[in-house]
Amino acid sequence: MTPERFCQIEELYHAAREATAGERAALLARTDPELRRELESLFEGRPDDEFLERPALRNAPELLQELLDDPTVTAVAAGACLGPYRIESKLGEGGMGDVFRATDTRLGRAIAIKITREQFSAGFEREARAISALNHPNICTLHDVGPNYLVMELVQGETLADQLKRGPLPIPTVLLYASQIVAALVEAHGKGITHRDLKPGNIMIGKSGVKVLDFGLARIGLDETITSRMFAGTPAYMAPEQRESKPADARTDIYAFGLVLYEMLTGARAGPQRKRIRPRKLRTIVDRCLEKDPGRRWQSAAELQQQLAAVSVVSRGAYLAASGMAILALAAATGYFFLHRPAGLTAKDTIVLADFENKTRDPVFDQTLRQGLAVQLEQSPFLTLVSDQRIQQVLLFMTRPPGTRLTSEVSREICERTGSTAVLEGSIAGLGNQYVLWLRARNCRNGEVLAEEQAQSEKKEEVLKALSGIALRMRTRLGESLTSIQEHSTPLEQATTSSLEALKAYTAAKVAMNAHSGPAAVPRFRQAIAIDPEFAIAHAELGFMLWNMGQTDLGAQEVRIAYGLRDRVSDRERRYILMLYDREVTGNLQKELHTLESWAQTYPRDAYAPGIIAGWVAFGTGQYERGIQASEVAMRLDPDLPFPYGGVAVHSLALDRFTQAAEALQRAAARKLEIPEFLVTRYYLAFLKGDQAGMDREIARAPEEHAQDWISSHQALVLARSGRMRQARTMWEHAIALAQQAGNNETAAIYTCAEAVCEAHFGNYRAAKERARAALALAKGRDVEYAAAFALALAGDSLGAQKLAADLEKRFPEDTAVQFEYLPTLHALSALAHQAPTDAVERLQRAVPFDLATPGTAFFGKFGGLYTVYIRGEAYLAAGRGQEAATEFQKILNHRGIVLADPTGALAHLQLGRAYVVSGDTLRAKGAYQDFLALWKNADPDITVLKQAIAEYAKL
Amino acid sequence: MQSIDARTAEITNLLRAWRGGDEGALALLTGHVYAELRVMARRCLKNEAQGNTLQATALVHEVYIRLVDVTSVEWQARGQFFAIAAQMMRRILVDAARKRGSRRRDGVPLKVNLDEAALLSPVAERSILALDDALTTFSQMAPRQAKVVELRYFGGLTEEEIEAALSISPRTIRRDWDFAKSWLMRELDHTTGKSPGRQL
Repeated sequence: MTPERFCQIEELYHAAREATAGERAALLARTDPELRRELESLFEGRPDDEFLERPALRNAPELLQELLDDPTVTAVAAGACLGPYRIESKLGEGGMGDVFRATDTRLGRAIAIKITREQFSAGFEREARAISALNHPNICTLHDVGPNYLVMELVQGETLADQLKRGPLPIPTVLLYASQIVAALVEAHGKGITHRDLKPGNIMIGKSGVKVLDFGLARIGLDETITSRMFAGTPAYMAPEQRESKPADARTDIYAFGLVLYEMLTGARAGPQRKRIRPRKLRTIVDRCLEKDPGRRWQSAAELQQQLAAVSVVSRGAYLAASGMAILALAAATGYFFLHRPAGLTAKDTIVLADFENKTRDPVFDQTLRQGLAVQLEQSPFLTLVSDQRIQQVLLFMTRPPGTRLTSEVSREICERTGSTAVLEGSIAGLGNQYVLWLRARNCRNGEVLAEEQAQSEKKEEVLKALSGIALRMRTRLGESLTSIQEHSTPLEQATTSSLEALKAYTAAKVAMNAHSGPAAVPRFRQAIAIDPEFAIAHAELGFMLWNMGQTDLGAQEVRIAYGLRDRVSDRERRYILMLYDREVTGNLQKELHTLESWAQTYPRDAYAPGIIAGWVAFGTGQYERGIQASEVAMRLDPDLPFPYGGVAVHSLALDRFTQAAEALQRAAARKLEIPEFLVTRYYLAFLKGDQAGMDREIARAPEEHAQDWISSHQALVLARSGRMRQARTMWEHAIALAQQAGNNETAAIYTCAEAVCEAHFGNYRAAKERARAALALAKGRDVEYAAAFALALAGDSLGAQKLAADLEKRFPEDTAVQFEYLPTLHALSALAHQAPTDAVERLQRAVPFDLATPGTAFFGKFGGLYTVYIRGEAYLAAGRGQEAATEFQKILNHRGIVLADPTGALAHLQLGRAYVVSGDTLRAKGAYQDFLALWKNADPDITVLKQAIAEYAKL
Repeated sequence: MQSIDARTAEITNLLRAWRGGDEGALALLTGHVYAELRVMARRCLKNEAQGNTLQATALVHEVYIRLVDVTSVEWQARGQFFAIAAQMMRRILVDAARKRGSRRRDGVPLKVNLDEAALLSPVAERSILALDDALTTFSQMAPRQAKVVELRYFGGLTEEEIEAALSISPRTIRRDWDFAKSWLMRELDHTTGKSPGRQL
C-alpha cells in the first residue's frame, strides 16, 4: 500500500464518519470499488466501542505477574534504584541472595539491602513486621521489607566467620563477643523471636560491638507453614531437633550458640569428637549448650547470660565499655538484667492513658500531668497512645458525655473497646512536704499488672522532671529498647515547658482544640506563651491554629518563633515545627512534603503526618489522588480523626468525583464526626448539583458551627457568579463585619478581596480598586496581596499591581504558590495591559504544572481556582488564537470541583463564545453566549460585562 | 531550596538534553524510565491484593514525579516524558506477554495471584502480542495515529496529556484514535479470528 493510497483511505474514512447516512451512501457510490471495500471493512467491526477503551494495564494485570517473578527486575547494579533505595555497591553473596550497600534517599542514610532470589511468602512479610520491632545494639535492625528484599542497618566490619579463619580468639575476646551475642538472644527471645540460623557467618564484628544478622527470619510459634526451605538453618549448625524438623525454640538457638562459642575458642567446628576447653567454667557452659536433649540444655538465654557473666568479673566491665552506653551501666546497677519475663508489649500494642488522680489540693496538677505524660510517651515510635479524639468518640458510643473523667474503670472499658492492650494510670499525692508520683500499666484484658513505677520530688518545680524520669522508666519496662529511648527522649521541660502553670494553660488549649473550638484555644495558647515565652510547641500549635482559621500572617509569626526554638524540643515536635515552617513561612510545598514523608517513615503509626499531606500539600500542588491516598492511610491508622474524611471529600471534589466526596462525608457522619469544614464542602456539593434546598440546609446549620461569616462569603460568591451583585455586596458586607467582630482581620481581608476580584471581572473598575485597597488596609498576608493585586491589575491600576507583585516576590522567594501561580498570573496581566499577549502566554508557561492546583485563595476563600488557565485563555484571545483560547476556557468548565462558585465559572462561557467567534465557529459561539446569558438571566442589568455580552451576542 | 537527589538531577538533565536535541540522551533516559516503571509496577502490584487497581496513568505520573525535578524543566517536557513512559509501558507489557507465552510453552508452571486463578487463560498475552504486531505495522503507515494509540492505550494518558505530548489538537487526537481503532480492529479480526483476539 502506498502512502498516497493510505491517505486517501484515511480522508475518506473521516469524511464518511462525519457525514450523515445519506451523505455517506452518496460518498461511497462515488469512490472506486477497491477503496469502497476498504472503507466497508473498516466500518464493519463497529460499533464495538469497547475495543481498546480500557487501558492495557487494567486488562492484563496477570501479565505483570511476570514482573513479580522476574529475578532480573532486581538484578541490580550500582546506581540502580529500588524504590527510594539507591544501590551503591555489592557487599557480598549469600545462600539466599545478594547483599548490597545502599542509600535511603529520603533520609540520606546508608543501609544494607539483601535481595533474595526468590520471593518471600506473604506470611513472611507479616512476621517481618514483628521482627522489625527488635531494637538492640547487638541486633542488626531491620528497617524495611519488600517482596524479595530486606532493608537493614548497615554494619561495617567483618563477620565472625572471617575472623575465625585466622584462628581461635583469645579468651577475653571470646567472653566479650559471647556476652554480646547472648544479650541479643535475650532481647529477641523476650519478644518471642528465635533466630534459628545462628552461626559465625551471621555475626558481624563492627566498630561498636557485635551485631547478629538475619535475626528472626523464623519465629517461635506453632505456625511452621511460614518457613520455607530457605530458612531451615545451615546444616552444620543445626540442632538435632531441627534436623528432625521438630519445632524449634529458644533452646535451639542456645545449641547454635554453643557451637559458635566452641568455634571461637578452638578455631574449629565442633565435630563428633570435641576438643577439651579450658577454663572449666567455659567448658561446662559449652557442654550444656550442646546437649542433644533440649531439656538438658540451659533453658533460657538469660540463664546463659548469668553463667557467662560469672566466668570472669572482667567480662561485665568489658561488655559495658564495648557497648559504651552509660544508660546501660546505670540500668545494670539497678537490675536491668532481670530474669523474669519482661512486660511483653510489642510495637503493635496501643495504650490508653487514664486521667491522673490528683490527691494533692493544688489544682495546677489537674490534667497537666496527663498532658505531660502524653508528650513524653508520644515521643516514642514504639508506643502508641489512643488519641484523645478517638477517646471522645468511644465515649460517645459508650453513651457517656464528652469530657467524662477517665477513671480506671472507664479507661479499661475504652481499652477493651478499642482493642488496646494496656491502661496507664497514675496519681500524684502529697506526702509531708514531698510529692509522690506513681504510675502503673495494666493489661486491660486480664488485669495483670505489667509495670509499676514511683518517683518522688522535693519541690513542686521538680515534679515535671520527675514525671520525665518516670515516663522514661515506664517506656523501658514496657519493652522499648534502650537505643530507641536514647534516640527519642527529650526531657519534658525541654519538650514543653518547665512551668506547671504554662503547661496547664497549654493543656486547656489542647482540650479546646480537640473540641474544634479555635476561638477558645487561641487565648489559652497565648496565656501559656505569656507565662513561658520559650514554650516552643505552644507557639507552633498556635501558629497552626491561626493559619487554619485564615490568619496566615499571624500564624506565620508564631511559627517563626517556634522555628527559632526548634532545637530543644523532641524529635517529633521538631518535625512538626519544620513542616509548619515550610507551609506557613516559606510556602515551599515540596520541602514540606519531604518533611512529612520522613515523619511518616519514622513514626509509621502516626496518623498525623499522612493526614497533613492530605490536607494542604496535596491540595496546593494539585496532587489530588495523592491527597485521597494519604487521607485513607490516616483514616486506617486512626478512624476517629475527622480531618481525613474531609480530605477525601475535598480532594474528590477537586477531581469532580462528587459521589465519592459525599460518601466520605457520610462515613464521617456514621462515626458521628463533624467539623465546620464539612459544612462548607456539603454546601458546595449541593451547589454543584444545583440543589438549592441542600444549600439552604447548610446555611441554616451555620450558626451552630460558628461558620456564619464563612457561609455568608460563599453565598456572596454564588450570587456574584450569576451576576446578582447588589445582593452579593450585602452578603459580603455581612461576612466582613462578622469576621472583623471576631478579630479576624485577615479573613475579613480575604472576603474583601473576593469582592474586589469579582467587581474587577465584571468591569466595575472603580469599585474593584476601592475594595482592593480596603482589603490591603486590613491585612497584608500573601493571599490578600495577590488577590488585591489581581483585582487592581484587571481594573487598570497596573502600577499598583506591579508594586504588590514585587513585594510578593521579595517576601516569598520559595513559596510554591507565589512562584508558580501568583507571580506568573500577575506578570501575564501586566503583559496584557501592555498589549503583549504572546508575552503573557510565555509568562504563564511556568504555571502549567500547577494549573490544576488549589492556590491559597481557593483554599481559604474558595475563589481563584484555575486563574492561570483563565488568564492564559484571555491572552490567547487577545492574540487572536481562538482555538487555543477555547481550549483554556473549556478547561475551566471541565473542573467545576476546583472552580466552585468563582465567577470565572460563568464568565468562561462568555469567553468561550468570544473564542469561537475569533476561530470562526459561529454556531458554537452562539451556544456559548446563550449559556452565559442563561446563567445571568437574573443579573443586575447595569453590570458592564453583561452589557458587553448582550451587545456582542446581538451582532452574531 | 529543596534537596534533589543525584539521580533525579541526572535524569532531569537527560530530559533537558534530549529536548535540546541530544539523541544519545534519549537512550539513557528511556532505560531509566523502563527500570523505574517496572520497579514501581511491582510495588503497586504488591498492593494489588489490598484492593488498589493498578492504573497506567497513575504509574506514569508517579514515575515522572520521582524521576524528574519538575521545577527545573519547561512545562512541555512533561508531555514528552509521558510519551516515553507510555512507550515503555508498552514494552514492559509486551515483554511480559512474550515471556509468559514462552513459559507456557515450556511447561513451566505459571505463578498466579490466588484471586486470579480463574483467569489462567492464554488470551491476554496473545491479544497483547497481536495488538503490538498490528500496531507496529500500522505505525509504518500512520506513525502519528499509532503514537496516539500507544499513549492512550498503553500509557493511559488523557486527551490533554496526549495533546501536550504530541502537540496536536484534540480534534486530531479523536480522529486519529477513531481511525486507528477501526484499522486495528480489522487487522486483529483477520489475524486471530473474530472475538477471542479482540478481548482488549
